[in-house]
Amino acid sequence: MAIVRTTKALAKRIDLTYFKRVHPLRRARWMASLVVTILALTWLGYKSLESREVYMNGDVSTPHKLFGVNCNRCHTDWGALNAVLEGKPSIPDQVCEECHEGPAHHWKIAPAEDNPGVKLNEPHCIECHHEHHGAQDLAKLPDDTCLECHRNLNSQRTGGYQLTNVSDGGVAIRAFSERGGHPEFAAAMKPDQTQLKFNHKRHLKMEDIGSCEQCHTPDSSRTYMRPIVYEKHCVSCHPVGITGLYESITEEMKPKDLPVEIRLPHGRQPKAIHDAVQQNLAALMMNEPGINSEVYSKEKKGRGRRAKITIAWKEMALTEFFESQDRFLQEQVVANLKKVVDDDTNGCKLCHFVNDKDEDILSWTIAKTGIPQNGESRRWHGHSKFAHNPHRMLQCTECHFATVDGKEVKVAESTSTEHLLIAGVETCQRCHHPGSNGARSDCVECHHFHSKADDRSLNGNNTIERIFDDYLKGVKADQTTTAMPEELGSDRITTPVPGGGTVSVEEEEAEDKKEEPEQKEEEKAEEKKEEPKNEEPTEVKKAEEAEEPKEAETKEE
Amino acid sequence: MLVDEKQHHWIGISLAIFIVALVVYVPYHAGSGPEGPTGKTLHGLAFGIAGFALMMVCGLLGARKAIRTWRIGKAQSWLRAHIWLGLISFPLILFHSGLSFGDGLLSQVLMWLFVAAIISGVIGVFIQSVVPRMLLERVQRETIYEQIPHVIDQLRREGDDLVEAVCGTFEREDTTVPAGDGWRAKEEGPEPVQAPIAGSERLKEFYVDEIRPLLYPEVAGEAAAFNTHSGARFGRMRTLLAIELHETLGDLEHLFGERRELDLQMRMHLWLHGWLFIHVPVAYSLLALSIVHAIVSLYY
Repeated sequence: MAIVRTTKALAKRIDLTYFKRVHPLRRARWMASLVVTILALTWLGYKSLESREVYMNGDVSTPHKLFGVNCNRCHTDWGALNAVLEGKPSIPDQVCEECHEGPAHHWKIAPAEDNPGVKLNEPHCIECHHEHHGAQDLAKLPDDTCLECHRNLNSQRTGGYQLTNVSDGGVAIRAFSERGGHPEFAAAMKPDQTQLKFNHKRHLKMEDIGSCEQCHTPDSSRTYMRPIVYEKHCVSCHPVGITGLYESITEEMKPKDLPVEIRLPHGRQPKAIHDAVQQNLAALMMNEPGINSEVYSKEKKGRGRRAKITIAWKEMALTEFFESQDRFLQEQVVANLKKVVDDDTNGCKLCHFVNDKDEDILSWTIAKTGIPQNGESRRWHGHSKFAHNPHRMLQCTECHFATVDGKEVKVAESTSTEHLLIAGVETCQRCHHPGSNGARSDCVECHHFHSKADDRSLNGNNTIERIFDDYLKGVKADQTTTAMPEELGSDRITTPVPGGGTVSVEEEEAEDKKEEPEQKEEEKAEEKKEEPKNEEPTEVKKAEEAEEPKEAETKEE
Repeated sequence: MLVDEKQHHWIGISLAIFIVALVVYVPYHAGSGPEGPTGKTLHGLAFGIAGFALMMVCGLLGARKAIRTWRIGKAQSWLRAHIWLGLISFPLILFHSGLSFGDGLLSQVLMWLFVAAIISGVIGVFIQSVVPRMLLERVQRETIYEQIPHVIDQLRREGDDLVEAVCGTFEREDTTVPAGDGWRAKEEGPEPVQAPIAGSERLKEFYVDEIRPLLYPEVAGEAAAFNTHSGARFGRMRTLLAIELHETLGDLEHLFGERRELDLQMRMHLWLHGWLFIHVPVAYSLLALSIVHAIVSLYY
């Protein structure tokens, strides 16, 4: 009989209790889910026990690896959640400042000074310095970090205060290497404002000079050039003095051994020079016979009536003498001073701008040159960091030339101080562009975010450099050697040096001593800068010194 | 489940969510600064929460199917929601991470687990669109999958009865009476014959040696191997047996055909649901690790 499958027959095939039992396949699936999930959590737990590195979203930078995997060194509990809810940084700035100094950004141009109450929205540390991106230099920020504001300064973080851009309001910075992407340097946009008449062309032709290094010398760190100092660089060819004084008076009236030329102090206004010369000449006059200050002081000590009369007469005579001499001196000094100041071939006007509107020379003023004096420093590009040393492979003239009316004027052809012989942006862009060999063109290559106004090191208390510095200072203070730990097996205190190896305290002291002469030279240079203010003209001094033995002889007589 | 016009509702919802997310993300990405978008910003966190919420909704499908009396929406609706919301959760999580897989180990493991879950899910949707139609076309006598072993046992029983009716009783090792044996209604099935028909010995031998061993659920592979020659074998037997036995032989062939289809149904069922052995464990481990990731990320 053929098999007939009716619906009822088929339905009756089914075990009506089958749903009460889980099919093995389904059970297997659930078991697999459970096992895999447990395995995953077990793996995570195992990795966590090893180290919490499994939770890190990327490796930390090399210096911070010293902390190990101690997340709480920087991260606060629920910091990320609080950051989102309260708008605060997940890592407070104070945590970073425990080790790093981070002074504010360019407070000198910040609006607070001009517009109190308006503060720039200073970014927090972690807004620019992003950790957990592997072995990177946290200080070397990508350009976009800076361009976030400097792409359009007035749109970002200014609290409504309208700032001007570096050199030209409205120029948006795009990239240094891009043509027009970075404005011309502020210093390079106007002529040299130094109030001095200097002709490079004439000077470079001279045999004694001939090259830049004769006048422009780098500082000890070879970062910047030392300022030009008259007493060091100019005086040998441009001495300033008064000659021909007392030509109009008779020989009998002339003080003896009067110097042919009285060297004038440099860096003074005519009035001050006049006073100094007059005082020196008055001193000369005091040494004349009959007006011997020593004799006079001895006679003044006498108590007798005759002594008193003598003293009174001498004082009267001396007063009258000085009065007459004073008028004479006044006329002579003024006449000769005018010769010097008004002389544009070998006097002050050769190099300086003199305000000579008045007839009275004593009211004339010589314009301040603006060249740094007495240890001051002035930088052309104040908002960038530049060092000559990394550029030592270049000739000076490769960067230092002027552009006048679109034409390049070389140093050797420059005849005017107005020629600003400082590199402009295009000069730097020749090497600092992507694709160049070694010359970076990112913002942080030349610019600091953190203001260097306070000259603070950015290394805080807990950085390695500061720890070693303090350690070495402590060692030198003690000036004792202590036994090294046994495992190092040395009884000398050593300091690690870059590149490996160690330096002992004795070797470091020897190096310090080598550096001392350089420091002394700098100190001497600074002292010399102060000399013109406080010291008398050298020629007058010589005259005084020459007079001293004669006084001794007269005393003996 | 076919991706057909019934899914338009959910496709629309998913697209809308994606477009809104994209509109929010693009300016956020553009203005995110040098570091780029990260999960710790407000936007990043919002995307992460949204993505994780959708993942959790997708994970509830298993609970909905497991608790059949939990009548919150139709299972089909849940499945559609699972597919489309699950798909849309991936771009949300990508927006959360700033279109990256992260630099940390846990972040990368999570993202790869997510990729595996999404790919296995998409493959599953494709399989579930194609295989049911194949099942419909190639398996005429489909039964409940979990009942297949039981039905095969019943087929074996039926075959035994057919052969005994014409060949007389023979020895069988199993004496269990499968449950649900009520198919043997009185109006169906052969009546036992008192004496074997002449020449039926060959039929009995054929059945006992070649057919009956394949009427067990656990010999699916061997049944498939016999299947390729079954037509020829039955044809040959037909020539050897008396005409009176041809009807029984035909019934046995019909029975064996049914066995073959059940075998095919089992294989197709494995195709239809085998990908779940990857998708479900990966998805649950992804959910578990995501919870850990969320807690740790917010803590630090």
